[in-house]
Amino acid sequence: MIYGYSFLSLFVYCVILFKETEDRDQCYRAIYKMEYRLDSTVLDNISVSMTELLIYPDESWFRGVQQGRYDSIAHHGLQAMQKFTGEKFPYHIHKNRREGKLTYYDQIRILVSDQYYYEEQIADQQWTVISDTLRIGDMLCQGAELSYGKRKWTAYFNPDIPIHDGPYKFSGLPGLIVQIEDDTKSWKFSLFELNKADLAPFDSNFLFPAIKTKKEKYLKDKRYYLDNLVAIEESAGLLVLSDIEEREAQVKHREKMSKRNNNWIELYP
Amino acid sequence: MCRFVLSSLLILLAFHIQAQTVISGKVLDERREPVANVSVSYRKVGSAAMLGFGRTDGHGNFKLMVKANGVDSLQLDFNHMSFAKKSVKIANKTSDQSYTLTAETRQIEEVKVGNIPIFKRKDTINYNVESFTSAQDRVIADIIRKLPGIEMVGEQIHYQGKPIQKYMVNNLDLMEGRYAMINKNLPADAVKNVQIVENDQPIKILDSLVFSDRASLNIELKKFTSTGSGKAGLGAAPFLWDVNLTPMTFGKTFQMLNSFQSNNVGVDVSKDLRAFYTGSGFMHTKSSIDEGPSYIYLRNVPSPGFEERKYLDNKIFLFSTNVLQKLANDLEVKGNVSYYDDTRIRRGFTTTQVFSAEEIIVNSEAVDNRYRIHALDAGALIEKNEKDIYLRNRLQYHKRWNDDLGLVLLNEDIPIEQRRAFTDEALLNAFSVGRFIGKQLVSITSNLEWHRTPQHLHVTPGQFDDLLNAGEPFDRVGQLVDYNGLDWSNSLSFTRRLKRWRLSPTVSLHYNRNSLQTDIEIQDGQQVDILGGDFHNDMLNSQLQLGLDAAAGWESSRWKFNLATPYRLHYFNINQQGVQTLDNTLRSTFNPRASLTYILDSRNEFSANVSGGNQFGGLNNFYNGFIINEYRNINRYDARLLGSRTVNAGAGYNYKNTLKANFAHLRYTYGQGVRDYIYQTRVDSLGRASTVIGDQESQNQNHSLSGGVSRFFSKIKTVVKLNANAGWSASDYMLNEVMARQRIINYGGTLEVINNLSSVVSGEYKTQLGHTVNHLAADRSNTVFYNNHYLTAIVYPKEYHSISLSNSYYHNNIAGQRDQYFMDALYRFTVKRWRLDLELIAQNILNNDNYVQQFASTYELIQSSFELRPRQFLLSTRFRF
Repeated sequence: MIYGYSFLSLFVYCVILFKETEDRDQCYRAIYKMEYRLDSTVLDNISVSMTELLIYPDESWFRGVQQGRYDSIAHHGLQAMQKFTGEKFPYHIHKNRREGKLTYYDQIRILVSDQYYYEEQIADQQWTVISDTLRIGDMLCQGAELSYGKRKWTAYFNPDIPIHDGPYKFSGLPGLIVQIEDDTKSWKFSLFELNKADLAPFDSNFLFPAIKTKKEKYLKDKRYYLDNLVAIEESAGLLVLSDIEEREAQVKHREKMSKRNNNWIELYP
Repeated sequence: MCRFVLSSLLILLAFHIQAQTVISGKVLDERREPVANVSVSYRKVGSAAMLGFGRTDGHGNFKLMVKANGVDSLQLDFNHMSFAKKSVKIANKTSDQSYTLTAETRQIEEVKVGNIPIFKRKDTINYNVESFTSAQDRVIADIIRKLPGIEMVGEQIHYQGKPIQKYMVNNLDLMEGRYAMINKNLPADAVKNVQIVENDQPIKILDSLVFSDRASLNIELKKFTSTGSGKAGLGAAPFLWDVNLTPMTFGKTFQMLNSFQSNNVGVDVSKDLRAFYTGSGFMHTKSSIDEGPSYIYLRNVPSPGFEERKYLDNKIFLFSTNVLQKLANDLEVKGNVSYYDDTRIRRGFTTTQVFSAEEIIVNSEAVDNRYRIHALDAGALIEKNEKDIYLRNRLQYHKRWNDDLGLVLLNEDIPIEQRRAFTDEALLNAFSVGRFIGKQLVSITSNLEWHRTPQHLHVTPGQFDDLLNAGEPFDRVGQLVDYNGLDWSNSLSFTRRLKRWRLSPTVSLHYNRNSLQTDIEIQDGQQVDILGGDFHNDMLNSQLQLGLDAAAGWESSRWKFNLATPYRLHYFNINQQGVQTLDNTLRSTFNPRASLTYILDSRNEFSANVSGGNQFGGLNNFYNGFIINEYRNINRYDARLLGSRTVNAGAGYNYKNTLKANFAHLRYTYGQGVRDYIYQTRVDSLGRASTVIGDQESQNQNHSLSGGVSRFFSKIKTVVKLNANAGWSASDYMLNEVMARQRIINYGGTLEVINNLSSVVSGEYKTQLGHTVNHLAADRSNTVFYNNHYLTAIVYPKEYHSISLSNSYYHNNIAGQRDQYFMDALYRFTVKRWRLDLELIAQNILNNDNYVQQFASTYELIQSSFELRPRQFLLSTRFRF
């Protein structure tokens, strides 16, 4: 009896392992180089950041590579490391292809890690295929255009890679997006590499409880927070600036920083 | 009327509805279950580009509104991660069908786009070295010459048809323009990227002030390292050696290159010491010392456009050391010393046809020359190049001394011996400083250059009997020349930016002083006479220039405009044989120039420039006593200032698409000049020429068009480069007292294909073509045509073994001259562990003994045949540090 039970357990374990391995075989990790200009008045100040798209069979997660490292730390229980990730864009984007829905998670305040989220339909991205093709590395990519976030985007996707996904929120083209750039050349994502990855299911528990909001409200709140950061954090008791001169300097510095942060990937409505 | 319009609209609408095809359907799996999220795209059959796409819903349904007028059939592509890709061809008409997909877990190939061969970031084009490296490449020059958009003109690097302005390694410029030595010795595998920085302003303080349209080249190493390469080879016959030891260090703040090279295999390594920087541009100072003027020459066999190592009979020893240290306060200190000793032998035969109005004078000369050249260079430089200050001072010493012997057999009858000694000693100090005072940049430049250039020529037997010895033959004639020159130029500029404008008023002071003492001596037996009189020069000339230049620039992101209006006052003083020929003679010159650049987008750039004005010069030719330049040329010029007026214009277009690795450029230039003088030449029946300056106006015009395209085909690892040029020019000349107009029409081009696709065989092919028609007086004309082919095939029979075969084929239009074919071979065995190659080189396998070519000068057509190096074998080892 005990041998029969052990054999059955072993069989079930093997089936689960096999199934898991099979599922994991379908996972990919795409690294995108993100080049961006947060201040539209300074043409040559282009920053670079690496981002990753974790591709599961029916869903994907997009985040900064640096953010991914800190998510892993958080996953392993080192909560203290969670607040300051070092990532300039600590957002996560979840795309559920089965439901045709994407969810955007971000924290508005720097000093408090409350997560907010809003949802959008992937089908809202109305792509137009254009006749341009572009060879990137060894890939022949097809062009497509999209008006999104008050920007006009031109993407090049590879129809030979049947992953209908891309960096940031971009999705829905009949192939993986290899390069996408807006017409002001302020934001650009370029595929750096695509690898098969042995990904564990994405543990999104740390994002919850997240507060549901609307996109317009989130953008307004974020702008309001950046414009009034010192006052908001002071009133919350998280920032104490007893020296008046120091406070004024901080206010001025934050105002300057906020003004420089004027060229978001989705333009303020 | 309204009804008609309405009916027409309805008909058009009906047509429109008919033109739109609706293709719908259902996608099922093998179990007839609907499949959601399948992308369904359509394209013209046989086309790479898709026209539109849709996606199946949760019930497996899709609907495509097809807009493909005039297309009979379409290709539908079904794509899903968990199903095999399916393509079907259907008629381009409305339909509703079901399609079945076969379950299959799609294996997606891993992609690495990171190392794309060429990519652009801001103004920097990055060429990934690995993408262009083949098994045969060893040093970075092997890679650079292959890069699309870049050309090697000799040892000089051009980008989009223009010379690069700087060559750096890890953003530091160790060699100050003498970059060939790094280029030919830096191992390619130490380099990560070759970068071209477009519109590079190397002076940081000018970064946002002065637009630059020049490009710099930077070598980005994989790491800070000590590296280098070396070679040691022995061969026969005669006894051959080829040694090169060039270690180099590239640290964060310290760079050093030392080189010892010696060979007698026909490689002129002294070219590695040549500085290629022009030193032109705002706040730039003189970058190298010009060679002092030579008034005397040996009769030579000219050899343009032919691979030097096939004919150069040399014996050279060269040493060079170069150091750069960046100090803590960002001050850069550089030093360099180099010396070489070169012995050369040149043997050949020339036939010269002089096209005068009355006749064609033909002469032949057999030439046997030996040159012994020594050159010593030393320099020290201090530079601080920061956003708020620029300081640079360069001190350079140069000495070159030659001792040459030339033997000529004129018309197979008269043996003539020439002995030439030439020394040029020079010192240059170039200083530049710039600093902001308020919002104004104040900059000062100062160059001081001094030359001492003694030289003499002795010809046996004596020449020009009629002129020098009342028609009596004599044993030997000697030309003695002593030249001293001092040049001091200074400028003070104030530069200020007012929104998009830049204003840079400049005042300048330039002083130039030269002295020339010459004598002709004749020797007959033991008696030596200095002729004096018309054969003596004792000249002292000086020129003081005061200049004012109201320069301005205007810049937007797309338009760049520059204007300069230099006005100068010149005071000339000439003293000849104790007589003050010119005494504070005042002349003014005005030479405005303007340039405009329009950057259409990141790929297309247009430019135009125009300049004009008047000039005065020719002070160094200001001698009224005869000077023997060559055994058969004697000249003197009447004392007067030579004035000219010129107008030049040009337009250019540059194209680059770094993603597709396409580069192209096109340039047109026009020049027109009017001179208030003309060179009047008399040539006698033996081809001996004497030249004077005549008071007659002469003109010249020229048009030239040049362009090039290059592309890297990454899939087949092939670079294709095509360059072409065409030109037309006309100029007045006077020969044997007949004024005539010379018209030249020429065109030419090169095509180069470099392939590295296969690991078994690779190859390079290049062809050059040139055609020149030269129309002269009395409807005489001559035509020069050549078409050369070069093919190198490299075979890799086994790992670490390679055999390369280089073939060159030369065709020209010399009557009766057969096409000439050369072959060289190289076997290489690589010992990877020791980073070492063992090579067996066979040169001139067909043992050709001479090479014949022709070219035209103003009124001459010269055919030259010169001796080649015989068949030779060399066994050598090449290693990398």
